[in-house]
Amino acid sequence: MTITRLTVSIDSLVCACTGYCVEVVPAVFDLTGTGPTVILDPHPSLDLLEDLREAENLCPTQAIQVEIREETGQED
Amino acid sequence: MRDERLGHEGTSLDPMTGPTVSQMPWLRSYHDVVGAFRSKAFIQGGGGRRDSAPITGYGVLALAGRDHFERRRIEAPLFRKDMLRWFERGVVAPALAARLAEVTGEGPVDLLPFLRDVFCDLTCSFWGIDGVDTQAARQRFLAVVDEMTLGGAVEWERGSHREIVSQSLVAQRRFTATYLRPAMQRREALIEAHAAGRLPESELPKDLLTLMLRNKEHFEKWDSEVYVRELTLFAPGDTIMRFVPHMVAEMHDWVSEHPEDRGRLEDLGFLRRCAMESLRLHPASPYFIRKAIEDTTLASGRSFSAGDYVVLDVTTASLDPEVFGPDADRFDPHRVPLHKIKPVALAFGEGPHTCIGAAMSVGEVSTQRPNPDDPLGLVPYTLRELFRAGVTPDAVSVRLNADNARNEFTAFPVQFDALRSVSTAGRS
Repeated sequence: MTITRLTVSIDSLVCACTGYCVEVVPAVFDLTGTGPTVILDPHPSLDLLEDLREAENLCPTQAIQVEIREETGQED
Repeated sequence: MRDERLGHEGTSLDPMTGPTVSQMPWLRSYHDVVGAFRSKAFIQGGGGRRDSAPITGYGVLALAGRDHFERRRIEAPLFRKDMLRWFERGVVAPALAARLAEVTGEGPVDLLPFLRDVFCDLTCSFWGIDGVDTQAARQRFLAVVDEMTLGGAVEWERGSHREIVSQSLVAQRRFTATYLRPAMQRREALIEAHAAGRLPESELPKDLLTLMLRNKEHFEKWDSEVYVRELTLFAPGDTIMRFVPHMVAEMHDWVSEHPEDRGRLEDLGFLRRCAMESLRLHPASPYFIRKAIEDTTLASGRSFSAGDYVVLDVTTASLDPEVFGPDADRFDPHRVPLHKIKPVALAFGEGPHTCIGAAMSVGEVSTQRPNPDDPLGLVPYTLRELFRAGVTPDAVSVRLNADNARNEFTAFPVQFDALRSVSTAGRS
């Protein structure tokens, strides 16, 4: 069967630690100390897609990437 | 002028009192500056630009915490890729092509007024100012804008700050009467028509003024001058015009000494690296002020008490040999820093106040996912077109501005060699 899966990644080299993504989607991003931002959940629920898109757009260095992938496999 | 309703987190405007910049402690190492930029223990000290507060007021630079996040959230749509593509391909590209077509090839061209004219259309489109569409109208518009924006960056001026600020206030009033008020009236009518279902969303202008007017409840809680003040802070053409001549000078010298790279002046990746390396050496903002809101200690051990001001010396930190190597003060687009840092280094700041226009200037900052449809970046694009036209600086006549600490030019004469050849061939 086909599963639609979100994959979130951060280019930690260009992350400027603005913390905006943490404000918008705290379940997925976290900022500890002086950074860079870490991903708490690289495959979050599809329900978060709109918020993740906003986090992507808010990032001034465009360090965040949100991909939607159709994957074939078993549900876990 | 303080608004009593401002019970907001960490946001404050300080008057022109207290220690001067030279009396404050300065952070000069790369890691200290990055640490302070990122730390939540520091806020923008009085907007990070204390003396310009009467000009920029509660603009995005002065805000902190939740207020600042809300403002960035409202303004973010202007910096989405579709908008950046439009500014680049729909606004700057035709303006640059038109101005280059006007170059006769006879005698030198001063690159500063040339770029100022090219980027005027960008400033108008970005702000949402209508009707500045002839050469004479652009000159009148830019004369007011120049006076207005000078006060918005008065911290780096060597002259009397009070005098400059008072002239800029007069310019802001003139700008409001001549350009801002008519633009606001037109947009308010369009927004009203949209709300009444008479105008589709796609017909609303996509500019800063429209965004602000659609979010009045956020902006008008600050003060009645917030519109002109926010515009003063966002003058994209003004900023780009200041650092492109440095890039042209550095790149011209580089390819003279490294002819193997001359062929790469068409390569946007190389042009982007040149732009970033030049911005490292010639940052648009030489330093920023921060204010500690709690006792804090940086990783290096330097401590600050709540209420302390500190200067973040971006210029010196960007030359830190510990990070950029022993030849840190030299232009090298192939430079590999000794530490893993982002390619733009400190050119656009760090932390919550990272420049919102970074991608607009240099394009995709990330190197992970090149996409041919992404915006190229206004600066790499402009550099490519200038070098295609054979831009060559006249080193003898180039002059630096002694009136401020921004290391900017007051005159930058160039020849457009490729256009001269075309022009000469056309006559023969």
